Amino acid sequence: MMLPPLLWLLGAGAVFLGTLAFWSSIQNWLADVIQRTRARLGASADTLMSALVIVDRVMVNGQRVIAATGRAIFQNEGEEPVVIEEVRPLMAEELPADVRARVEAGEPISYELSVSSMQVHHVPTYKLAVRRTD
Amino acid sequence: MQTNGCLTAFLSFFLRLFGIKPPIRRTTEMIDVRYREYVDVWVSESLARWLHETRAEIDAEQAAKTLLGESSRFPETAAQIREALIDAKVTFSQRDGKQYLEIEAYMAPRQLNGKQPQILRWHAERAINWTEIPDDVRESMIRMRQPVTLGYSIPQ
Repeated sequence: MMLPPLLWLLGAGAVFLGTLAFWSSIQNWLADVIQRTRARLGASADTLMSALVIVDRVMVNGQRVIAATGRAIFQNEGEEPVVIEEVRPLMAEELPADVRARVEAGEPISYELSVSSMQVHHVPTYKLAVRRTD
Repeated sequence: MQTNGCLTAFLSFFLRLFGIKPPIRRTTEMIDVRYREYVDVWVSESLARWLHETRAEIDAEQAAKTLLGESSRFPETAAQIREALIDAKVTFSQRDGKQYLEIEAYMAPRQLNGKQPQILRWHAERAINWTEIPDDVRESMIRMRQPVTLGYSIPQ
């Protein structure tokens, strides 16, 4: 009996997702098999190893891209940002000349110090604002 | 310098047919750099903590920054590290279907009162995901089927 094409597609998708999810174990097993049968495979063993390295790059970079995308989409939704405000009075003389000139002209000044998109290790985002108090 | 893989070349050719010029290789390298940094940070923070425990005058935070490549900002700390850190090596291995990142370091405490020179050995190990291992290390692990050890040098 012929299976409908959609079922084939779903099956292929499920196999691909399973391979992606358990890639670490699968590559370990495949590399072991190639290593153990090296004598029987001869020159093909090196070709198979190279093929495994290429597939590994594709799988791992795919997993990394999925993880980075997931972080970018879901990170801001579930987490409340931690805001810590610290106010430090400064003498006008301590400010750099250009900043001082802008403050004295009544301009608001703020700097955003950005962080990496991946956030492999936690780095906070800083916002520095300079205001004039009389 | 790594050579282009055939899959990358094939994908680039296919996408160029449609007028798209994707920097696939550059993108995957940029992603890999993030994971290298992830490993570097753990190694540097471990070494910095041990350096502080070996010689209390070494500030752990400054030492970590120095080991992460900011030695020009802390020349004094860099000199102290060069004096204290004898050798270090970082090893990636696979056991029972899991991957491990291991660091081993040898350090010299300050010698006092003419005592015999003493060397301290520090060691730490942690489990690491396969995806967190940099590309070239994974390749070596697949091809050689044995632990991959990288020498460690203090960044200049």
